Formats: sequence, C-alpha cells, structure tokens
Amino acid sequence: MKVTQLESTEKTTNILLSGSLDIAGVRDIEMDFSRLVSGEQTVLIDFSGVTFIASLGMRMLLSAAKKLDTEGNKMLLHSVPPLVETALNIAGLATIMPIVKNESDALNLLEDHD
Amino acid sequence: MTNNYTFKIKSTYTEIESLCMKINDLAQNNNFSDKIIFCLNICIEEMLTNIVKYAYDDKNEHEIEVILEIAGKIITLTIVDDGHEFNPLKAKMPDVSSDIKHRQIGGIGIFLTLKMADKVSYNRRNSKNFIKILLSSTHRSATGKK
Repeated sequence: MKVTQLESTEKTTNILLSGSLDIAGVRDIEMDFSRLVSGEQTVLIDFSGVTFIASLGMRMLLSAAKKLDTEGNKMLLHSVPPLVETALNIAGLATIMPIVKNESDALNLLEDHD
Repeated sequence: MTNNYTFKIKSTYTEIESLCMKINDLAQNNNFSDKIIFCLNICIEEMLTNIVKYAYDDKNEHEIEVILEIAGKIITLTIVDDGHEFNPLKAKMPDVSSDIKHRQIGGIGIFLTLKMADKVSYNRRNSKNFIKILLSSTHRSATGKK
C-alpha cells in the first residue's frame, strides 16, 4: 500500500492512494496519511489505484474527515473503482466524504461551494 | 463437485493477513468474480479481526478454525472460535446515516459483512462460536441494489 502526495493547489492537498486498504495496507500508510491530512486544507484523494477497502481503512478515512471537519474543511474522493465505491456506499461514507467521478469534478464541486 | 479447505490460525493479525492472502488465491484459482472475491475478503477480514479484538476474556493465544467450502458457484465460509458467546446477527448496528460530527468511528465491520454476504448464520456449540457465511456468484448485495 502506498500514499503519495501529488502536486497540490493553493486550496487543496492532493493525495494518491494505491494498493489494498486491508489490515497490512492500513498499517503501512496510516502514519504518513495522517501527517498529510493536517486539517488546514481540503483534501482530494485519487482512489484510482485502491483495489480493496474494509473497515480499518474506512476508520482511517473517517478520522481524517472528522479532523478536517473541525477546521471547516472537506475530504473528497475521486476516481474510485466500482467495488470500492459500493463498499463505501454501504458504510454510508459517501454522505460524509463526497465521491466524484474525477479530479475536475472534484474541483468544480469545491468552486460551487465557495 | 465440492472442495473443502480447512485452516487453523492463531488469534493474531499477522495470521489473519496471511490467511486472507491464501483464501484470495484459492478463490482466484477457482475463477470466482472480482466482486465475490472482494466480498469474501471483507467477510474474512471483518469477522476475524472482530474475534481477535473482542472474543477473548484472557490474554492467551487462541486457535481459530476457518473452513472454506467451494461448491460450484457457491462459497461457504465457516469460522469457529472459542471466545465468549457472540452472535454477530444480534450486534448493535451503527447508524450509517448520521452526519460527520455524530458518526461513530467503529462498529462498521459486522455491518459490512451482513450487507455483503448472501446469508450469515450463527450457532453456539461445545463452548464455541460457529459463524457461517454464504456467498454466491449470482450476487445481489454488492451490485449496489438495495
């Protein structure tokens, strides 16, 4: 499992996650991920390389989203593979961290809110 | 034709991880769809981590037995542990509609399993918990339909 910081904008921190967010995957990236999500900037996560997610991975995302929320910021996921999106929807996470089709949709959504 | 595979693991996260990989390979070699394999992985990881986290009243290492039965397009997963009595079907379910401020961080694992499996049943026999999970390739839950 890998977490990579992508080129970020003035308003957003962009992150790429790739691999399987299972027990081992979460353990691999949890600290780096939490360091990248400082809370001060809205976070855009490219999920295109994520092949699996279970509750441990969801817990990691949810605590990051809660941290962002206390600072008035958001977390958006984009390019989420269908099975991963199904799991996130079942867990009701899509209402907490919007899931959009791609990066430009994510940026549009943020502009609409400004 | 039915194939049975029995695994005995110690109650540690490391053993869960390597078991997940083995079962993943088995399901792939039997040509199950990505969707079923995804659900299977969720069920195994969630049920086993739940046992390791909460089932035992002592600090000793315990044995967990996992039986994978493949019969045509149906996978049956049976998990047997000697922890205290716990019926996942009666577990308190999280409120997955609450807003970000009120959303609980834990408790989603059993919920996911119950939603993604076709059938989950529970039995207590000889001081052991038997959780049986059925997944079939004519799958309804993971299609996104309610």
